Amino acid sequence: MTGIEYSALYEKSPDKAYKELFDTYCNYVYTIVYNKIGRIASAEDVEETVSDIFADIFFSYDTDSKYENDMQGYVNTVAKRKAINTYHRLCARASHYSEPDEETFTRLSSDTDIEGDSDRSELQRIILNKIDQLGEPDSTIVLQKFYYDKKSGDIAKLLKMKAPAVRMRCKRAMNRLKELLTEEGISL
Amino acid sequence: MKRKKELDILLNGNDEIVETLALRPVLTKKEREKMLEMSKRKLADMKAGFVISDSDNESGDSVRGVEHYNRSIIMRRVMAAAACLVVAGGIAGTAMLMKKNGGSRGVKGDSNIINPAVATTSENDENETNTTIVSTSVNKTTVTSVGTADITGTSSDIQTTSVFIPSTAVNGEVSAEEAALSYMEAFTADDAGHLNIQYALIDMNKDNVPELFISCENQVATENYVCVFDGNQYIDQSPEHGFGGNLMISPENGMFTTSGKYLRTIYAKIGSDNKIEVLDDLASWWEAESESICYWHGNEKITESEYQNIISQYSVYNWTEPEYTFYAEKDGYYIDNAPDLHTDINIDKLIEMGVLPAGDREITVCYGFLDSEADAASTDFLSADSEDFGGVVGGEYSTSSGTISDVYPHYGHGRRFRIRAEIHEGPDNKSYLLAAADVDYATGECKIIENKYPDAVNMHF
Repeated sequence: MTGIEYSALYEKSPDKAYKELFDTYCNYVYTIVYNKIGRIASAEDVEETVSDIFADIFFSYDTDSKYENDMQGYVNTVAKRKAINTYHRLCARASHYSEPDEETFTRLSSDTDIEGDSDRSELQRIILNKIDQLGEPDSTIVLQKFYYDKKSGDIAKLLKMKAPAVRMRCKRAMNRLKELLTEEGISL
Repeated sequence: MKRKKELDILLNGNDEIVETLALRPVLTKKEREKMLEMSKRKLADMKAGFVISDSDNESGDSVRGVEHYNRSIIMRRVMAAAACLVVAGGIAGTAMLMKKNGGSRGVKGDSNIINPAVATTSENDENETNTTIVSTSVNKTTVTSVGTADITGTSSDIQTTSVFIPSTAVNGEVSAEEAALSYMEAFTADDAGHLNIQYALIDMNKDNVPELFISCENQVATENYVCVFDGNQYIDQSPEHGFGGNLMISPENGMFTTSGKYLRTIYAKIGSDNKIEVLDDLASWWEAESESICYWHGNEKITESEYQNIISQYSVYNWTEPEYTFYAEKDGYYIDNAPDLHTDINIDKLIEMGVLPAGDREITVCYGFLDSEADAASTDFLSADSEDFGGVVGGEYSTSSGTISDVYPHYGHGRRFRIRAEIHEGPDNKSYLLAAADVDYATGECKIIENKYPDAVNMHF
């Protein structure tokens, strides 16, 4: 959705513009937020942050602007900034109980570690590639279970499958993924 | 910090990784709808100046809603005991009241229709917004003008004034009563397994628009939800699974409290801005480290006298249970044809086998619910990874009890359950999974499907 398309839609109906904006970028924003705060945030915190982001975009976006490009860049910026804010807020809250672990700090400060980031990105790319090799629905099941931390029942709803079938495929797919990664010298 | 997942390595990826992940199905329709509604609410608050946009304030702090807290697994199990008593009391009390009132269905058919609050927002030449909220009641109409921050975000002063004009001046499209019944219809139709659903409309914050209180069971415990009317519909202001335990109200002060055995005691107030403010959040339970009952105020540990002091401040108020009206039980009927499920546990033997650690302490027998649709032959029901759909509490025992015989509390409600007997102990919710059974409360068909320690545990009907 380009900025001009959004503005035109907004002109006709702000409600429809909001719905369209949400439908177009909901997955994208959720993925950004989860990627930033998924390790420390509850599902509710993630959902709260996503809804904050959309409210923020809708509230702040200048509909008079004649932005011709896709709004994804703008959405990306707002989403990342908000997710990082949430990260700091959650860390501050968590610090009442315990310090974030070393790995979390390493990841947070990795902006300046270009070599480390590059290695990490390469590793992530290989893993995603191997997950793709599992084929559907196994690749989605594995990501939902072992990345998004979803329950089999919820994954079943998402993929319109039975929960026991999800559980069974999940176990087998993860074993297969581990085999594929071992061939590349990677262990999870 | 959450439990580490196998694919956590994918977290904090660059844009390319995120875009690749986003191309796959991520959210169910229900999750999307939930977030859309939440964001609409936040947007409405931003427009009304109740929440500061990140564009206006770098901190991005929001002031909406209530403080959430997560109940632990053992708390979910254990609080069912208290919940059952509360629900039983609630049912009996409501039944008595209904009988006494000639079977009145509460607000249904009530002629005192309350019209909705209507909010309009306008913007003046100086880029400032002004929101007028008009709410009507049986006797009067409240007009609240909220002059909010200018859009560029340089000011955040909110001026509120209230006047009262006759109710005939404004006639809304949806009454609070209609909105409440619509909400109840949706709530009941929701696939959340709510049982014994009751509701009450009570004006707690004296704005002449009643708040909607909902009480129900969820097979684990009593849940209480508090909803406020936004002019068109009721909006839930409660934590995700509601307020647990026994809910009492003090309408004179706009306050309510929830409490129960093994639950935090919450004192909260519904303000004139329709927001729930948690006044005090208290807890008292056994702490293994110090081997004593400890007390908390929020997350801060306090002394017993400080704890009692806070409680006593609230005891001066007049607390009553809301006068609920039954709405519907989700499936409309209860049929429990299954026999009792017994679990005989030889504690000494479990200790001897090295399953349970030795030492005198309190343990609790709990029953976890598993996916009843799963094929009994294909899944390991006694592994920690198997799916858990909540559960109920059984009895409390000492490790010196020898052999105990616990009976599963009979809450079948005509449904099919896969039940797993467990022992829980300590603040870390350490659990020991013992045996599992399938019980169909409609047909009475029962089967023990797994027993991890047949030498020490005997599960039978």
